[in-house]
Amino acid sequence: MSHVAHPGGLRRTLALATLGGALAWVASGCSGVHGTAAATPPETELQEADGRVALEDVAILLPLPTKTSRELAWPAAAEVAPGRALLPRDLAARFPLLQEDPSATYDSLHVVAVRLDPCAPAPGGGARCEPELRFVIQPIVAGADGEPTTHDAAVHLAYRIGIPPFLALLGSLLVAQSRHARSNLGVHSGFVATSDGRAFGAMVRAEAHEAAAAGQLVQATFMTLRSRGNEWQFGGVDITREHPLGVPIRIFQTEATVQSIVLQETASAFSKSVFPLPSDTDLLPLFSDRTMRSAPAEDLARALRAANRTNNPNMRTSEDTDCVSCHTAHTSASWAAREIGLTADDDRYVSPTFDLSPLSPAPSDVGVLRAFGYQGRLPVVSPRTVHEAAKAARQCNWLLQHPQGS
Amino acid sequence: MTMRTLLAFPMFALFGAVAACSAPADTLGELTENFSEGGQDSWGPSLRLRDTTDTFSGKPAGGWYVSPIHATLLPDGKVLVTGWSRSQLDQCQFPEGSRANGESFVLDPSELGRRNAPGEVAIQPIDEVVDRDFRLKPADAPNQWSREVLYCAGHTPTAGGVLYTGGSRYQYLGQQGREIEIGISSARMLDYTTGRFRKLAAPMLGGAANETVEGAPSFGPVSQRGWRWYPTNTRMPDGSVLVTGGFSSIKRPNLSVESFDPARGSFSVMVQHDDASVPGFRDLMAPGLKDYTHTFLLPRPVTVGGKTRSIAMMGWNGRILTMSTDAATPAGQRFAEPRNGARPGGAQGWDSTSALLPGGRILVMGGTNNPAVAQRADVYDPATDTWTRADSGIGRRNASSVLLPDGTALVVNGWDEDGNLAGDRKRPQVFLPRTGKFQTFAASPNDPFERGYHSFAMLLKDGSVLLGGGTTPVVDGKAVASIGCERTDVRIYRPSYLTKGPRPVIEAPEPIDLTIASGSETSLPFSGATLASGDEAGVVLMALGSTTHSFDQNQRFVPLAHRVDAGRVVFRAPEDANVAPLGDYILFLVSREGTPSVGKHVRLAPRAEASGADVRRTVLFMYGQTSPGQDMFLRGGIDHRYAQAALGRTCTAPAGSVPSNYACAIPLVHRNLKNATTAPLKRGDARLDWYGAEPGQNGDAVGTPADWTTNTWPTSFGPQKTVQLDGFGVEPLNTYGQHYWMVDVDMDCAATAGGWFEVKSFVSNGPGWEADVTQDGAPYASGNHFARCGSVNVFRRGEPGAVIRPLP
Repeated sequence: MSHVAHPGGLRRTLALATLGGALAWVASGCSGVHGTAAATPPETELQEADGRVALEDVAILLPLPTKTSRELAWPAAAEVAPGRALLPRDLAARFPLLQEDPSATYDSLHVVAVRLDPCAPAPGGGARCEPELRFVIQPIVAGADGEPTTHDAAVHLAYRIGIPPFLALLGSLLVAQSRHARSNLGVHSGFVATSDGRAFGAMVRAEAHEAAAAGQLVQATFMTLRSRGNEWQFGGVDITREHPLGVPIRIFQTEATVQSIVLQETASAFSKSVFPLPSDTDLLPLFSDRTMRSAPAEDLARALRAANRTNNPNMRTSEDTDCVSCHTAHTSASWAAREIGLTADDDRYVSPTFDLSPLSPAPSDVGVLRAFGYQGRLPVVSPRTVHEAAKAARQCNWLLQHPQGS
Repeated sequence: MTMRTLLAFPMFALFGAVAACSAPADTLGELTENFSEGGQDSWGPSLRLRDTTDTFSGKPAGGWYVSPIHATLLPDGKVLVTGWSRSQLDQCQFPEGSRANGESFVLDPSELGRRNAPGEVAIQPIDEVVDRDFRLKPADAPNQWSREVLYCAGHTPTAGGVLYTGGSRYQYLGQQGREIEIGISSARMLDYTTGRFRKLAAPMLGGAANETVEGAPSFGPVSQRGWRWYPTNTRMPDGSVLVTGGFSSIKRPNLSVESFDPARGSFSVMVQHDDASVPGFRDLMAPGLKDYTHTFLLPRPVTVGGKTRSIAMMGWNGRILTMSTDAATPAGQRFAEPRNGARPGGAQGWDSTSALLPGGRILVMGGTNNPAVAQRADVYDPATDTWTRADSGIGRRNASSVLLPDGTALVVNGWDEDGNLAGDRKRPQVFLPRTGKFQTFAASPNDPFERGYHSFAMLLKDGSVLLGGGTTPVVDGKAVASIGCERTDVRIYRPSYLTKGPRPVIEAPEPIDLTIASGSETSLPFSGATLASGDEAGVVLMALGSTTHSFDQNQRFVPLAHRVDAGRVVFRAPEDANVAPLGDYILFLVSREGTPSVGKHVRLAPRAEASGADVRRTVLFMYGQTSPGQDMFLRGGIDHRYAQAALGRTCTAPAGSVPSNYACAIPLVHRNLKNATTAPLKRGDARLDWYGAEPGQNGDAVGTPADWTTNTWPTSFGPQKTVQLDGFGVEPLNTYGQHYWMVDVDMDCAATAGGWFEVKSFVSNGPGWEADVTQDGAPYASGNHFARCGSVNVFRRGEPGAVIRPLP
């Protein structure tokens, strides 16, 4: 049983048998037939390196559609293969975000972001990892003025794909990269810095669908805002051939399959009630202004360090942390810095390569739980997403530089 | 896990099946399952509310579906309901605009009770007298804001009608993250005589002077003075209404406290929202989002932080906040947090239900997203600042707690929003305050759906309970767990106590008028059953329920001592308005089996208004050392001969009349009934007279009982006692020393001799009468002390001196 959590990765090994050929194909810059992984590939510890792959090559935030450009975010109902929707309708129907608000229909679900992870934990636990392609899907509905906006809800789809399709998609992004300037993480510069954003979007969609078609949907997770507007629920399912509609995933270290966070908030105070409790209990003082204002200094220091840990993909992965912690620790830490001047650097993720400040302002509102997507019409990129992207980009660079895993 | 859940809400069902490993359903421990004990509860049919009028444009075929959210019991037994209507049962999202059609109407429970099959009830909307055109900024477009709606208002019955405070209006209604909801500053009264709302001319006043309105986009800062939605209305001893909590706008709790004077029809601010002198912990009154502060008038005020406080509140934090309503208390000292006021285990209070139990304890049941807390009842005793816990075995969020006339509390409704709670929320439970345990009954039949947020449950005049509304995960097989898609039905629940034994019958017409602390007896014919006695209350006043969002703002249980005499039940009106605030009640007689009568409307009026007398507080201190077992009493009045000669008043009774008449006695009402020793002796003591025990007064009394007081409490006496809390002990008006026995009364000065009256003390079980005295400046010759009505009078037994000073 895996856990509902978020991608990351400790030191993991990747099966690299087909990597050499795939990299040759990437280098040619051509699209073509994807290879397949060997049955029993040798395994190599995936490492990181500087290189050409940038943050936004592995974390692509699509622009929110407008009345005149709706195609930039494509529907989750779109088929990746004949008769096979990106998000199967019967799977979507299981998630409470569609049950919560009738306007969040299946047809309203759209892809708003795509993420590439070269080393997602492989099924069965252990140190093995596999490349993964993830789609961030949100309900996009018409606002009062007719312009599209999003609901505070999302589905994440994880497609396990082989190395060749992964590298093929990455290669296409790198080719496109040459036509625009790289930027920090935000709406992908391919949409905003070129005159041909639609073509870029079409390419991303086509390549991502092709990779997904070659892969397998292995996990779907959700977060949704309940209708009073201050409770979010997180959950998800593991999907196998035997269980196409999924098996509920347990929240880390618990038997529960839904994690809830309720936010009570005033202009100067807040409280986050989380159940089941965060797996890292050091975080707890950060979940209320009252405790932050009254806790001993050493407890607060430990809590801020835990927040750094939670946002550090080298220290916390989907396998060892819970959903709410990943989605909310950073806003509490921001609150502590802003309101009472508390900061900590211990266990903070640092990257030798990238500027980790997102293009979009990092959310500091304790009521923003989105990690990568849209809060209404506002692009949101959480620190953890930036950090994960940095790690993934560096791993991709290493892959490209070590075709034989050496 | 039921089949319904599996089919209709598959994700939760699947998750719930796993979660059940840690939270076994229906494990009730020592609780009593399917409780009967001679009674059988029952349910009326589900009745769907429909509005077939043309009140709102665009009426759909078959009429509007109506979700009831608020309910208030009217004196005639009907129910005032406020909610909203929508065109479709299970499609409630924008732009259909389900929440734009706020409406109020009256239901007749007797009509509902005659229905024996599911069906529909046509409702007739009452004009809510709301504004339809509003612009916050000049640039706002017409119709940018919705018309005002009264759901999420505060409400409570007053002497003249049901007071509604606040309400809301919307921008971007139904637009999820963009939706802006702000409070309104107007208040309304549903007039009992006309059955119509009237908008009060005077606005509410409490709120932020300059604050941003959250939304997308946010705007401001603007003045939010008077804006309130989700306020709590609490009826006060004098019939005024305390308005607490709620929000000015989204995420902006209104932390002001204001008072509504029904006589003047206006509000006054007791504590302003942005008063910088008020400590920050005042924000403990802030309710959970879209919830209400749970505010109580304590029957026995408590001393916290050196001040007497009669108000206790709980917001989302789950911590008790007490408040002083004394006009002389500065705003900065009004609030205090009891040392142990936090709900046990750090549990918060949002989504809980709470009620003031008999005796003044506060029940806090369920709530939060923690399954262990959701099934827990925590009972707080303000007098001892302690908590006790009970496990209900059923997790509930947004449940309802309803005080019943037998002294128990019904817990119903609630939902399992996260799919991880134990038990079946459709099973009613009765909390027994004496034992701290729950009785659990069978689930509501023919109804697979829960009643969650926006449900209500309220005691009716016949002892049954009306349930209505509530968010539920599914309706007609479709998942619609959102605000705006609440259930549209009401249903009557008949608790088992209705069938435990024969029902008493009150054979008297309505209304029954009582006067607070009048001391006089009311005698009503009754039949049908033997009334409860001893520790079980056989005569009970139940305040008219006024409930929404898991909290009844007005329910109250007031037991009255009684005796039965020749087929009549004889009782006195409540003596303390903190126990029974002035206003309307329902009188129930309760049999020894616990079965209540059908209630009768009671009007509890202030004494002064009823008598028209010149009533003033008068305090008498009489110094006298006594021994254990001895008590001091005062007698007095006007000398009969002086009365005849100077006042033309005949006080001497005809020969053979026992006792004499009371023409020379001075009517009084005891203000201090907290001393457990003297309180029984004070009951029925309505005059300062020369004759000893009055008719109806305890025979052990030999006059008007006094209470022992001191200026300082000797440490050797153990824990300090105070007149304020204990009825005896330290008294601020006693600046003289120990052994100054005190009589503190409201006295009718019109019955005195130009403000003077005579006093003489008697100590029981020993010394008896004091010696005669001759007091300087007396209005006429007498061997007794002379006191001034409306003043503090200080005497010593057998000594002529007197200190007479005005009351502070």
